[in-house]
Amino acid sequence: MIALYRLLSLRYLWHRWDRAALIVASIALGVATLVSSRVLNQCLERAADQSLTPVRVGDLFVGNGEFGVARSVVDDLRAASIPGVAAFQPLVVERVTLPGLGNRVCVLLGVELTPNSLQAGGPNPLGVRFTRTLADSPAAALMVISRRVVIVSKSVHDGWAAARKSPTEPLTLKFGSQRLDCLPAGYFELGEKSPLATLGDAVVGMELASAARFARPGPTPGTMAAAGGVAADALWEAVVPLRVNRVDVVLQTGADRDAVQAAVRAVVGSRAEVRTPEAHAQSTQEIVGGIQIAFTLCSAAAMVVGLFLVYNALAVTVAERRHDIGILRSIGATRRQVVVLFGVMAFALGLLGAALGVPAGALLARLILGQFREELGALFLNPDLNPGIPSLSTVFYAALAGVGTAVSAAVIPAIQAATQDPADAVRRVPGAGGGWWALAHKAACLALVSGGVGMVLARHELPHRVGAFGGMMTALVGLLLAAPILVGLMVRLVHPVLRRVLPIEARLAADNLLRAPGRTGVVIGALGAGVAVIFQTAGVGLSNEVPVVQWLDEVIQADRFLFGGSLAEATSSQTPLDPQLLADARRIPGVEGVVGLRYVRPEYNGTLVFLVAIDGTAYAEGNARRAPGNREGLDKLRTLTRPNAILVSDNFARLHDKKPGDTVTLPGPRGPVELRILDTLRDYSWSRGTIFIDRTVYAALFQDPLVDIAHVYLADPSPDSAAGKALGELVDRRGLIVQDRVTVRKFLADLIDRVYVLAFVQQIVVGIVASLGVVTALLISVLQRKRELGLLLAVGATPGQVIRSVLAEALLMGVFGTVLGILIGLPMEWYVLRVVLLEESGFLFEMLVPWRQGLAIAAGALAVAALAGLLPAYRAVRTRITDAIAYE
Amino acid sequence: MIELIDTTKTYYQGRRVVSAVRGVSLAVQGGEFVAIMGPSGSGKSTLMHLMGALDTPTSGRAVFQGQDLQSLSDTARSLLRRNRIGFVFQAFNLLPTLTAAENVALPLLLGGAPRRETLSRARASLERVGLGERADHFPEEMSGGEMQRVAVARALVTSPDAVLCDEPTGNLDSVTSREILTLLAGLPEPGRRAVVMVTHDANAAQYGTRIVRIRDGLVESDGPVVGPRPTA
Repeated sequence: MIALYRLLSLRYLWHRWDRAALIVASIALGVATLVSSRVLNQCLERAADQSLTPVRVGDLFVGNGEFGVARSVVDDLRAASIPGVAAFQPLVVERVTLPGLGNRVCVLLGVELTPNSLQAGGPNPLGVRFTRTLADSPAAALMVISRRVVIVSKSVHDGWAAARKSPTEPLTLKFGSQRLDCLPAGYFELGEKSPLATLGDAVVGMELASAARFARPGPTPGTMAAAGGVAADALWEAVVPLRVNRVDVVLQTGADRDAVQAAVRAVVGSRAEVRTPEAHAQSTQEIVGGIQIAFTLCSAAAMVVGLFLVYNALAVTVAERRHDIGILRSIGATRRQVVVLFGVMAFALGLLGAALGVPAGALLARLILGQFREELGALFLNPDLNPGIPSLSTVFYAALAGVGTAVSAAVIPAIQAATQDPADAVRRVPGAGGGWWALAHKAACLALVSGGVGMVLARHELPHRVGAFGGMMTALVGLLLAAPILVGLMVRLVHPVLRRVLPIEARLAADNLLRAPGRTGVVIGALGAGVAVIFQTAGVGLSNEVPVVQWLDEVIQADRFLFGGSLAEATSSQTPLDPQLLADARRIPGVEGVVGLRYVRPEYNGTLVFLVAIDGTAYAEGNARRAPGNREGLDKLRTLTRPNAILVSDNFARLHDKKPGDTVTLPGPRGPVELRILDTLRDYSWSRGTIFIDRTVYAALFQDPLVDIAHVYLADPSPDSAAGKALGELVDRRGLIVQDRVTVRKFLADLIDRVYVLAFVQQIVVGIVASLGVVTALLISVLQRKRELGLLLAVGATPGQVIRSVLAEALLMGVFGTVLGILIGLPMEWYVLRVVLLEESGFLFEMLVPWRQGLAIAAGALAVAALAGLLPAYRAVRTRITDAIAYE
Repeated sequence: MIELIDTTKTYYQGRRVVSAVRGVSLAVQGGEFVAIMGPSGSGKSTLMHLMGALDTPTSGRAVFQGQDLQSLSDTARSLLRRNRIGFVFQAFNLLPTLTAAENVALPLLLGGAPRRETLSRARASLERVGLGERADHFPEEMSGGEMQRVAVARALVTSPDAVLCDEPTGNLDSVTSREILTLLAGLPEPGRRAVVMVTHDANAAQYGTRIVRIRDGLVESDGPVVGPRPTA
């Protein structure tokens, strides 16, 4: 039987290769967006997961977001002797750079090591290859005493060995503005199965306390960190409790995890959260969930549009092959064989589309990631974001999606083909047409649209995001399915006018739209869907961009910005600066004010929120001098100096249901810290909400004096001013970076632009899929209009008139598709802004309609439709008149 | 072999009710070559479709070798057409994407026979109609007569008990028509195979052994062919 299906399906596709190519291209593009979304989602999730939970060794995690966990918690846990626990493993994991190796980014890993374990002959769980005797020089001996002996990954060791000028030259680590000279005692190789493999190939291992002090130096950074050593431990612990990033709890085999979790919670109390790896993964989802949903929705849209186009092409193929089906039925083909025949054809097309879509998707993911490599790299612990090749599961899903799309699109046409009366088909009598099908079609549209709307309305009762996103997609599928009905109505409405105003060629095209709304309606619907998502994106982009750019202009008023690392890292806590820098900058003549900001992402209410510790008064004064507007927000910042006072962003208040007067409790180094909300503030920094606190208050409460960026206000902001030059020299000496306001604003504006480019790239793919559908529909239209076009030529129409008639049909499809798209795009924009975005991020944006972009989108859609009409028009004029008028 | 008993067939053309066959009783025996004649719209093609299980009567019975066609499922009727009935149509009805041999092999392939075997039997069938050398040609590369001979070869490839032809010479010139009719006239086998041919060409009907005249859905006359059979 395979021979039969191969013969009938593949031979037909070979003969109709152009249509087959269009179907395959539609599926391939849909699959490509799916694959790219999956690859990007997996890459981001992996990176976020590795950043939140690096070196996963435990069965339970004790953590506190970026605040870390007091070392004393580990001592208490060990003292409690909890049954079922094999070990408690505190960890320090931070991103540092290696100035001696071209500022290479590397992960600093602090683990509990005895001095013995840093030497050959001691415990050696990582299989370190020791390369030197630590007592071979006085400098080395001093480093042993001060615990600055490290072990490094092989790539770091090789780089250091090649770059050093003498055997005793240390390996320098840089964390923000701090530097630490270390002595590598040996190296280890990271196998694929090593728990450290997720950190990348650049790792420096250090004794836990030394690493903790270097990463969180406390109130007297330079001196204490430099001193180090056993003698400093007690003093340090007394002044600043040592904090580690996380404590992993390793369970004994067969231990009851829930019981251990409860026991650990009882010991930890409110000092930290105790979570299972699964619950910890939820935090990862919180961070990347929004981006993942955006990617997934784009790929789903492409697949749905592709599905309808494939359905359309296959439905018309059935119509075209109706006579062939009749022949087959007359010589004994069963209904089942006819269904399987179309199923096999769809399967082959789907498989081919998937095979092309997988590499295209991997390439698309690589291109998209390339756009944001620096910014995304700054977010994650391991900056080497590599989308990799699609996993086997991705390939499987791609094949399933491609084949599933094609086969499900073929189901209805195949059943329709099988129900053909063979006698009618052989005689070429028009099919009875199905009142039943029409009724089922209307019922399906109604069910999908009302079901989608119902899901949206009941979204608070449904699982998170199921109602808001699933409902929207369901309603959209329903609208797309209803496109033939809607298009039929639209055409019927304007048809009398079109008949009066259009020339004969266009009038015939309009008649054709009215005659075959089923064929053209799906394509117009698909084109409309493409226009709708692009229009909606433009609208959401505009509604976001205008207020966000205005807000950025208001908040970025300083003349110079000092930071470590790069601009992309300046809003993370990965390159902190010594606060001494602020004092030094203030002493420069011509400097009017210096504002330090510290950024932290603590856990609050089950998610990571953004905490900005700011010199509120200095910031308000500096900005007020440059931008007299926004007085209200600046005045609020001046009130921050009150004890335990905070301001929260509007979206924080909405997301966490807080109002002025309420309290917010954050985990502090010595237990929970209760903060009182003074007021709310307009801020677009973080989608989970932002807390503003005075930096001095923060430093005291959280024992964290560091800053991440300094805003400097100059009396003379010109590039050649003496103060500007002195500032430049100051940062040069410390290996930092200084940028002016124009550069910072441009960087942020470019970043926003790229975010929207990213969204558009995915949606343009949807547009391309839709335009392929226009080509398919028109090719089919030419076939269906063969007799009509042949008659036109026979009665004296010129080839130009025939071309114009086909192009007119294309343009009319473009016009109706654009109108439909904008009509759907407008409510979609409102929905995304006022429901999706508001509920996801708490940001409330006024809806701005992108009329100017709408014109460009309409022009683009019409151009695509016209271009899509060229090939069919060429086919039409090549029609042999005798064949055409003989054709039924 | 084939029997229609008081058969009627009514269908809708838009909102118009068309009574194509209005109470026809007719029996065809093995070895007969029955020509059904009548003007356009007389119901002769519908009659042939009813005999060939392509359609079912609105009332009355259609019986093929003792089996009431109405009592058969759609699949059973498909199997009957595939294995025991061969069709030849006016417009040849070949699949344009298949070669002559592949078109002929189709009924066998539909039955699940191995490709090699089906092609070998298809070639033999093509040899029988004198087209052995054109086996690998596509329909568009053939003349009308050749295409119709391929259709005859397809109708014969399963050694059917009945060959039903709907205006088989309607699209052919007179010389080719004679060739095809001669070919068809050689197909009936007494006691086994019957040939039924719908035509409005009186000359073509002379190749048969019996002529049934139809008008307005009713049998107007039914009798043996009078006079000598035309020669090729």
